[in-house]
Amino acid sequence: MSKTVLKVTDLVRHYPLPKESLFAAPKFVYALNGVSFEIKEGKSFGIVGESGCGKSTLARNVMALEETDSGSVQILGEEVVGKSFNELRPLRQHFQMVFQDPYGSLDPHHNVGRIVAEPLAAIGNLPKREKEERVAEVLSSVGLKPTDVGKYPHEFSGGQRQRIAIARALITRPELIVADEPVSALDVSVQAQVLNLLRDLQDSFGVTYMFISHDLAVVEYLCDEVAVMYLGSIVEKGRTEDLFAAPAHPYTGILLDAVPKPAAGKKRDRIRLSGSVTGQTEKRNGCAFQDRCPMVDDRCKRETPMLKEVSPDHFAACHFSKEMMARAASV
Amino acid sequence: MALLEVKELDVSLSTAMGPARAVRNLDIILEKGQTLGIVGESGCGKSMTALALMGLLPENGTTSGEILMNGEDLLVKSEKEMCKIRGNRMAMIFQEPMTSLNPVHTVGRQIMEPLRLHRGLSKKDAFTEAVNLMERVGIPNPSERVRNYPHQLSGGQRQRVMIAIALSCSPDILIADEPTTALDVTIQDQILELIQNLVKEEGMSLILISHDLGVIAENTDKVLVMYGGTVVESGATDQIFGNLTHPYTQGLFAAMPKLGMGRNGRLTTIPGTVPDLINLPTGCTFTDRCPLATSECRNTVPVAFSLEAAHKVSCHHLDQAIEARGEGLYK
Repeated sequence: MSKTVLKVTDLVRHYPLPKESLFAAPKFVYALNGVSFEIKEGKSFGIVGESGCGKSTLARNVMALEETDSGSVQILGEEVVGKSFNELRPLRQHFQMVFQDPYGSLDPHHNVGRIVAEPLAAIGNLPKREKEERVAEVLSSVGLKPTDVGKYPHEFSGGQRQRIAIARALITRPELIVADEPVSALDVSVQAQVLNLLRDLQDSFGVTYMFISHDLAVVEYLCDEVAVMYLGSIVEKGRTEDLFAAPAHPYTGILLDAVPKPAAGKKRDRIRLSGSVTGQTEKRNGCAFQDRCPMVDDRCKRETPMLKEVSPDHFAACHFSKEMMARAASV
Repeated sequence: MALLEVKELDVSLSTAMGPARAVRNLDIILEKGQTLGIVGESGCGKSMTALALMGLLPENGTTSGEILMNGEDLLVKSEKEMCKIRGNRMAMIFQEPMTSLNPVHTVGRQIMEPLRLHRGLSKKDAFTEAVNLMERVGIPNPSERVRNYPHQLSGGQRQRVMIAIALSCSPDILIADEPTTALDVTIQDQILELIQNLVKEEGMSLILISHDLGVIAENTDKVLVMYGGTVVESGATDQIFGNLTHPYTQGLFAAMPKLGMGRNGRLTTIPGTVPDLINLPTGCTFTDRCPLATSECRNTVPVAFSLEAAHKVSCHHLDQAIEARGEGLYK
């Protein structure tokens, strides 16, 4: 039995909105409403959903980059929520993050050597020699030259910058890397290079990924397991192949259908989703997806569906998950 | 006579390091009601082509060749004459709806602008028309939304406003430059459907520019695949996606993660990066990254060869490329 690297239980995060008047009841953006999942060592866990569904809030909370309202995040058995900055600092070598925009996430005034070596400060004082060795080692493992240390970010292309960001995350030899849309800003051919790199690094170092993306094809390529989020909750999770082959939540089905397919012969019949994600600021009864769901009925407006097991290791929060799966099986 | 005929268009941008040849020897024929896709990675010249058509090139840009719209050459027109065509007979939708709308004017005012300028409507009539247009592009509560500022709308709605502006004078040609790149898949689906429906209703011609092969495959009649400023492959969409031929097209397609591919296969990567437009190779621009490249490719520019009706490929090693379709070129 492999060990659990990340365990998130009932994570809640509500952002307070500015009050409309002195006496008005406080309002919130309900960004995370009790999210739970686990990632085993050496696995990749994908999180998908539309913008505004809470994916990035989840990443920031897992990385302990902001205050969490309630719930727990355990990384290698160690509780992260509620720890102070100084208590967290020695733990940070175990979990690192790669951000979306390789242009915004690297300081233009620092050379690559300094950028990549920065997380080592969390480990404590390392001798200069060892620092340099580790920088050179990690740069070559992401496919850059050790001689690149003296260069500045503007001398690199987007894909190479993302490699630098990955090198920076790898240098502390973390067990967990949280990657928030790491390939969305890249071109197709470069994206393929970075995706293959992420896979190779997992094979050679056994790192665990929490991988956030809106691109379902990318998630399918990289992740063992996937969770679909809608309005701050996980609506479906399971092994990638099960979930993509037989989606048990209508939202997953619609997301999969909406991806344009690059093949001859256009126009497919499908259910299109109208509207966009709304309702982050209200708390109401029933299913979060009720406004946009093609299968909605009275029960969905009364009862909030709970995440339940629909087949082994495959969970969905829908009253109609059986019908959904039957439909997927019949096609 | 075709609605739009571009002959041997060259665009070059003067930079401190010398001229960057953004577009070379480009030919386009677009009939009324037709949809043309331009696909390629960043730096391939697809956006520069669009800007050249609109007469919106940056100040350091120079053009040669001909852009004939109904037989009139747009390149010889004065700025004053172009102002009458731009937004009126030819309109454009940009990638980032947040930066292309003016944040300090209401969206209504921005939709009214072309109506008053090109169609000479009174303020009152233009306002009514703006509300109608907003309703047509599917913005809920148009009579209230017309007074909103861009930041009060979601990304999808902002793009709908952009479409309303582009549509306001019923142009003959609509150019959409990555109209859905910043949007979620579900919203992308809605926006593309909207554009398709409007184009059909108005009998407009559409030039759709995207890096996403899926978007192009599902929404166009004809495709140009661009690389390093030139067209490497062109033809009817079905022909191209049915018979990917040019080594670059094959590589681009293989590098793209596709739904249903699973985790077993490995993504193909095209080695190297896009060419430097200032120091272009003398022969084929794809030489440095092409697995089939020989000294012939390095020294002579390949001519477009007709594979079958209208399907043209510019490659010296066509037979080898066709042979490699099945097993994949990049190993």
